[in-house]
Amino acid sequence: MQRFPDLRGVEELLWKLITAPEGVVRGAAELHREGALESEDLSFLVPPNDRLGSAEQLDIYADMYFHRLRDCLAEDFPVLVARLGSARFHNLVTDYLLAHPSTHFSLRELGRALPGFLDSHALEREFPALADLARLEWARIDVFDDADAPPLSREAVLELGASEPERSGLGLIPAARLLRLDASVLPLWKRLDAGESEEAASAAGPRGETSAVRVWRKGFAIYHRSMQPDEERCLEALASGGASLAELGELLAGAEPPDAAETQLARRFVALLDLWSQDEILTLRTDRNPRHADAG
Amino acid sequence: MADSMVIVPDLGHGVGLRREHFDRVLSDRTGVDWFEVISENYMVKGGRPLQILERVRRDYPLVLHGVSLSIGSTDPLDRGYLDRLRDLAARIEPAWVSDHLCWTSIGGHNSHDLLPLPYTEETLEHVVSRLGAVQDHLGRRIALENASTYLRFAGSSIPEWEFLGEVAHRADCGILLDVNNVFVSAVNHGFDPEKYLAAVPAERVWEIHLAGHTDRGSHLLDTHGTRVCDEVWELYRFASRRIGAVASLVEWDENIPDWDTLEAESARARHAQRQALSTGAA
Repeated sequence: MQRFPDLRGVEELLWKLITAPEGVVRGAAELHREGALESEDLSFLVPPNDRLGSAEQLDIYADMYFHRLRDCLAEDFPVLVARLGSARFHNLVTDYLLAHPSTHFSLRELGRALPGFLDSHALEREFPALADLARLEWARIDVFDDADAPPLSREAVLELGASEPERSGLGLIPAARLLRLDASVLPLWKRLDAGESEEAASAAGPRGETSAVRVWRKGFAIYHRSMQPDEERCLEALASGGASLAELGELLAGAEPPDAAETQLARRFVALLDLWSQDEILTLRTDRNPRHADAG
Repeated sequence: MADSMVIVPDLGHGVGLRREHFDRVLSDRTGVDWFEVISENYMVKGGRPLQILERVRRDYPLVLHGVSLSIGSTDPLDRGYLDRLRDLAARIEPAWVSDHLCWTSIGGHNSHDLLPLPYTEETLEHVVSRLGAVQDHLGRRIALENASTYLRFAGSSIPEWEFLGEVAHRADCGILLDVNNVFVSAVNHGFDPEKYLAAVPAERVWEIHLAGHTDRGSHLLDTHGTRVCDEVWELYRFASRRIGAVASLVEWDENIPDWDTLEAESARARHAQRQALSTGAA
């Protein structure tokens, strides 16, 4: 009979057995074929007891491993589950965990690679924009417990604009994400989230085009909405290094047709500032050195 | 360095803080004395979890109970994890920090499950050595909980109760004695749970856990999804008579009941401990 391994050997063997995609018995057979086990009999590691064989005892851990992680991902991606159905989602998780076993101490990070994994998964061909749907769900998870930052009120923004429009260092709150997603994703998410069937929901929206989306946390609630190109351009500047009100004005002017009236530009600027402060996504950046800080 | 002179307070009777009860806990004083939280759930940058935790901490003692320390793993210690645990402890000032006598990760991969250790001299030395490094890093002693197990390794040569006591003695750490886990493992492996409880060094026990389990026919599974069963209540009275009054906690993580049911289970623990202490030594 094979000798009982040292601690490292026990842990490595147990890991291989309980994460084997087709269960402990087949995992042991595979390890035997590879020469890692002298035989498929695992009694050298775990002796059978009066109720369960060696592999059956190990299978308890294999079941717990998979079901815990599947349930965690299902909780993080409820709309993806609704889109795929539980059987397809189960198989997706099997594939995903083989490719991306958890490397983080927290289960909260388990789904981080799932949207990217879906980009090249066969399900993406069957369910177009599936990866983008997962991207939206992950962004909503990601902002849930991202860093807090005091949001700027409308009054504070206006005060900044009146006092020092060129020195005002504005930024996007940490708990916000800017995404570019397939245009079908937002209507699809809405219908699935409302409990519509997958068949009804899959008819939602055009496919192929992309739309800009922002996801953010306001208080403890998570929101998302689509953006026009001018808003996207401004928020990208706020997210990437911050911007002053003057710089935002320049960005907005650059996004409008050359013949756009100044009053039209001003109205749009005020509307966006109102919207951003109402959504509580603007914050003050004290680490920023605005482009125009020392000008004039 | 770990301080062996730390005096561990009897916090009374608490429950695990779960998000289903956040609103109730924050709205008014409850009938429980303290709360325990899963440390990893609060190792985040911000948002609701941390704000809730800080608000609860204003009114109650808290204990940080981890699931990812992986004290028995042969991988290098995750210093990043320890840094975040130390930072969280500095922010929350828990009564103590605890985790499990198990391993969770190997080869850089995390199972997110409490995996069993072979109880050997090699494992004992390994765990004690790592505990020393962990307690030094955190600047505090911690308590380790006995986990439920569903298999017994062929190479195990030390009974679990002796192993646990020896770890606590050599590493100068506390014990979080989970009475339900003792019962589950006793049924699964056919040992006498009272023998286990009688052997645990009473002076090392900082806290007792109570929970429900599920009978799967061929084995018991530690699900934390039901009420505490009669056998476990009896073992709790046995442990209380032997150990005395220590902080006790009801865990309920699946099929989470309404607050009143959970609070009633905690009150039942308070009554059982009082009853046990009034009837003398085990």
